[in-house]
Amino acid sequence: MKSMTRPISARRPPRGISLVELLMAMGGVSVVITSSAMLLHGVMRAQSESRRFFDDERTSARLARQFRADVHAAAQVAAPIEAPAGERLVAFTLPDGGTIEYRHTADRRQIERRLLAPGNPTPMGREDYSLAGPCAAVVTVAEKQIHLELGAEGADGELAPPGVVRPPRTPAEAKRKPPALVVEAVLGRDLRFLPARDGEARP
Amino acid sequence: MTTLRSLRRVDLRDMQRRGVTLFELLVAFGILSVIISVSAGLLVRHGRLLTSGRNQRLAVEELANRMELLHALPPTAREAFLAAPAPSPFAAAHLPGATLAAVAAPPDAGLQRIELAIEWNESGRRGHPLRLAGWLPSASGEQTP
Repeated sequence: MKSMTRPISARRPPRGISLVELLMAMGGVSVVITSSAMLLHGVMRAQSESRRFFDDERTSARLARQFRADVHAAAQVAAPIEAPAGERLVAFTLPDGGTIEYRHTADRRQIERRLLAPGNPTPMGREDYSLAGPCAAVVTVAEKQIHLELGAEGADGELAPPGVVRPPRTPAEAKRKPPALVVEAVLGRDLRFLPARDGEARP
Repeated sequence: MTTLRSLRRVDLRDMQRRGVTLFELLVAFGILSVIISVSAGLLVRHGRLLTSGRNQRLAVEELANRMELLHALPPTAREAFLAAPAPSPFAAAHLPGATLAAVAAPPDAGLQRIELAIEWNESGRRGHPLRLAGWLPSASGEQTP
């Protein structure tokens, strides 16, 4: 008599998957997708952060070089003029009578350099040094030594002392490194701009 | 005893197998986790690279500022600075463990060669300082253009 049950070896393999297998697979895939998303987000954030950071670094280096060259070329620090509080940082008088002035814009994100011809208040030239976020800028003059400092803003909007940082206003600001720059230069150091002494040929 | 029929049945079952084994799954997860950990390490190193780039710029500015200061100082104060050079408070606050060194060569033709070197606590920086050489008017006060 033929048996009604088929041998085990002849059974068809089970079709489909069990619930546990499905849950495990979904769990594994979700872990992989979450990790990849976090990684992608981190990479994109790092890319934009580094682009902003190196923009700020390039701007700082450019400003330092230009400021030092201007101080070296200047004959004296120009007398202060009326300007909105905190806007004008410093102005230098050149040997030819022209003026170079540095301003900090109202949004505190930009340093402007303006070149003025003698007796003409309209700028002949202008350069902007833009930073990714607001910063504080201070120029101090001690005899012939000029000191420019850029740094994080303190609670009162002025330069924060070392180690004291104002709480960030936005999450983006919290991630940003504030600019850090100090330039010291001696007034009129570049001898090419000095008037020739009696009987001396200009270099 | 293995017969030809049983072998054929096994081969047929292998061909019809669907899905992956646990071992294959573990290998795939292992490779993925290695890739993710390597990428996370790269992100951390990226942050260190940014800090290192800024430190380098601050150090270069510090050397230029110290050289300017030396130019402005009277001869006696310059000698005192060269005897015990120290970084500015700004550099000390931003460059961890910054130390400044100065070497002055004997004056030659009214000019004195001064070399400033700065190093700070950073991987690969100790023992390999940044250097800046400048020629300043010697103490006699003679200036050349």
